[in-house]
Amino acid sequence: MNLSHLPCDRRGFLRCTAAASAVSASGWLPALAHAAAAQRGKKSCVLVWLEGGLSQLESFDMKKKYSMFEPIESSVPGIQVCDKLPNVAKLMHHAAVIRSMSTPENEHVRARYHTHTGVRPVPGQVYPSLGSMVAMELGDPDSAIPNYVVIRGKGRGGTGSGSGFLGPKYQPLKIDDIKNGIENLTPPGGMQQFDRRLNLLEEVEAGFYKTLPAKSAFAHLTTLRRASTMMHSKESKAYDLDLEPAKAREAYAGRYGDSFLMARRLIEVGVPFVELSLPEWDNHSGCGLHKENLPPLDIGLSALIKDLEDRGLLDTTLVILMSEFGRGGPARVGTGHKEDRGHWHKAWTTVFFGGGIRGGQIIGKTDETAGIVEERMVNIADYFATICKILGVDYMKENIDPGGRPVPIVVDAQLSPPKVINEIL
Amino acid sequence: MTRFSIAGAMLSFIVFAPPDAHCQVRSGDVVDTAQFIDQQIDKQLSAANIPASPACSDSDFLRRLCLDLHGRIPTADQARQFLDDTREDKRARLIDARLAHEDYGIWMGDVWLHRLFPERSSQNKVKPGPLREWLTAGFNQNRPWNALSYDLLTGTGEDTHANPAVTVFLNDSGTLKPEEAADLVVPVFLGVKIECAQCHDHPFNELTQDDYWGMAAFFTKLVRDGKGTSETRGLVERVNKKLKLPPYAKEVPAKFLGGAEPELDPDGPYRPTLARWITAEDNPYFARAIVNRVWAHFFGLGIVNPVDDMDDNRPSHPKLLSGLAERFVASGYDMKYLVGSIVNSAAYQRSLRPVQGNEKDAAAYGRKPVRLLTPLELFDSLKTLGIIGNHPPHKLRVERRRFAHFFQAGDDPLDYDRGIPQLLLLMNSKKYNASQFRQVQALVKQLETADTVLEAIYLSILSRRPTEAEHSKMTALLDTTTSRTLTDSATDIYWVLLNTSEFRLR
Repeated sequence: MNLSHLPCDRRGFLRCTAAASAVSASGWLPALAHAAAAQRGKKSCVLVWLEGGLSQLESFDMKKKYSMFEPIESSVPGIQVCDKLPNVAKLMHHAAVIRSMSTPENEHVRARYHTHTGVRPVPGQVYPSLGSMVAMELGDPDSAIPNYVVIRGKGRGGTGSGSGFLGPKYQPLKIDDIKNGIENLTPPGGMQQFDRRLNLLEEVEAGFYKTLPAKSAFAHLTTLRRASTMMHSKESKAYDLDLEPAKAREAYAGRYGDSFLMARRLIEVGVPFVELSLPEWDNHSGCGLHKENLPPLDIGLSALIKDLEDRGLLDTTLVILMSEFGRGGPARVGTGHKEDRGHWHKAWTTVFFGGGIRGGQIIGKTDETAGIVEERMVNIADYFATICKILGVDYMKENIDPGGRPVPIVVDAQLSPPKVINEIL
Repeated sequence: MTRFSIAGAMLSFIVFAPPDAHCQVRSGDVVDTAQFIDQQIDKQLSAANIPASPACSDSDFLRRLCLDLHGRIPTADQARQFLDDTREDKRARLIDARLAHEDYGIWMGDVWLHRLFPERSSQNKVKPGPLREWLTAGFNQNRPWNALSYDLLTGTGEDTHANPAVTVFLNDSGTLKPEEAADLVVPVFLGVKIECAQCHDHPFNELTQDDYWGMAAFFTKLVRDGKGTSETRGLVERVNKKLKLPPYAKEVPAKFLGGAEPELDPDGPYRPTLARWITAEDNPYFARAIVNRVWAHFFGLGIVNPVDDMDDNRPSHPKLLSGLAERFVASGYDMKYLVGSIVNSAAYQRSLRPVQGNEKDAAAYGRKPVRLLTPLELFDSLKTLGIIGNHPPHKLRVERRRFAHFFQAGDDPLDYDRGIPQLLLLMNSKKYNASQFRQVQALVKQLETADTVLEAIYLSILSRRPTEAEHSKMTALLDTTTSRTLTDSATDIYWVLLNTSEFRLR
């Protein structure tokens, strides 16, 4: 690594952003959104992550004998969902439900990593998350705001979503406190002082890097520059939920509402990959947490899908609902334990909405416990390849790992070609 | 090597509860073990044809040692004093002084508190303050690691003041479940990760579900009981009550990890039997686990990684690990001896800067691995600088926790895991900017000349004086027209240094 690989000089973008900010500030969002959509023709993705594990039995794979909630009919005849999701039920014609996910990891951190990167954790090498790879493919490399944003809840969500060997430029921007969005975007001494200081800092950093060319020093400078670019941009207003009209904020009610609303605002200004990490789905027995969390999920998720539809963005925005695994019970510990909902990776459910897929479909089938896949098993490679297909990303595209080896987005795609879920394309 | 003998090892095998004799670091042994470390490291370096970087500068050494032993950078005065000290053995002297200082125990207590009592939402109401103080005292008195561990594993008491060690097993609803207790104890004290064996046999090593539930079975008698409030009530091992295991548990008798089923008195407590096995000299994991953790504390990576999953992974230096573990046991589990040996080694005192041929492979230790200040080190260093205000202790602790939470560090200390929001905080926070201005203002008032102000800023933040090039570059930027303009322009420099890689890395 040497300094000439560092991103272009900062004065360049200062000039660009100064010109751009001449546009009236009041009309910034619609104008930007319009421009973003027009020049893009590219798709984007919202990954809704339920931290801990969504129970398929209490959501989208209802079973008479074991589900603890009642099934209700949806907008698609024959597709039932649980009664805690009445608003999402009305939107199932946009959805493809995959009931036959099956993966190898059953512990949160390992499973999170596997379902974010497509590989099992091994010491010594960190693989990039799908979000980082998709953002790299679909995002504007000169974008003023990061192409991959992770909105974290109260939990420690966000592990596994890193850029791994793609490096600091593709690290997600992590928003921890959704109410406050991104804080400290304005320097207290004014932009002029900030730019003066940052110029000096760049010089000092360059000198330091010559004597200690450490990866982390490179990452530090890259991140400083990304932060500064963001500070100079008007797209960063997307992080400010207070700019949203009151009526829209009402639609996004409930505990998760702000996260979903933030996702829409980011998609609108052209961020290609947004991940929402919603905490506290690690519901080990009974259905208490799900009872509490499904209604706000129902409100937020349905508001997002309807809003995207109203704005003409649903066909180009894939919304994914998933966790690191599902929940077992009968299949895990025997049919006597109806209330057990321990971690279960052998059969679980994810849902796609929008993104131009053929909605109103069920993929795969499980046994009467929803714990064993009976038809159309989908592993993580199949799943990633399908997402890439939907988003228009070549999953054979190779990135170079630190050992100099080319690694396709779907890591083992060459050895064992993934089975894309073509039925929904 | 005269202190270690097979006879000695055999003898202590029959000791039941570990002794708590006060150990004195003997400098001769420390030097000998530091040399042993270097022999092992150097042997592998030359076998792999990797050159070693030269020794680090005095300021790097001072900064590194203060961060590792006290969790924060040195003050400008400390830096000045150390840099101007002309005695040849000043590094060894500094090590002795810093190990003897009470901040050593405070920092080690903090590190171990986070390990033993990780922040979980289910432990909001249990107050860890007494445990923190107990650990601090233990490290400052240099209690042997086997004795500390034994007490932590077996503690019972009326409340958390009577015996702070009980805190480890408490949570809001009473006590940790048996499986949670096993998940905590086994990685921390034995360096083995067993969670995966909860539901299926471990994917890589030999551990089975029997090992997992066999270890969990030792914790089936925990009951929260005693005096005090819900925050401080204590812990007993109830004689006739067994905690229920979850439905998917494998019901097996208590069994040592990868070992035998002990005879347990059904009417007695179980944990002392487990603790005796864990802390026994012939335990295959115990000494290696602590040696590896302490090593990782000083190098940013263990001899085996991850440090809580040693069973699945190979050591980079097998003989170093086993040799250090043997010496540590022979020393009577003397923590200051172990720490002193490591920081006296040339490997520890090597420069961060690579030379041709040792850029890669940090685990070869041809150069010192570069890492970030951890969130707590960063916070405490900002405190040392006066950037964090002078709050009362309770308020300060809350702010410190919030800061650490905002930075949410990942698992790998060598990885750069800061994001844009974290950098924005340090660049643009109103509060931090105002304190920087005040710090510089005070320096200007006290020192008056541009030269001395500049030197003080460098010494405070980077623990070194500016180089000649830096000196001429920076003095040119200082506007000495009035003390106000000097303060303003010097604050620019202060801000810049605070946001450099040099300050954020170590």
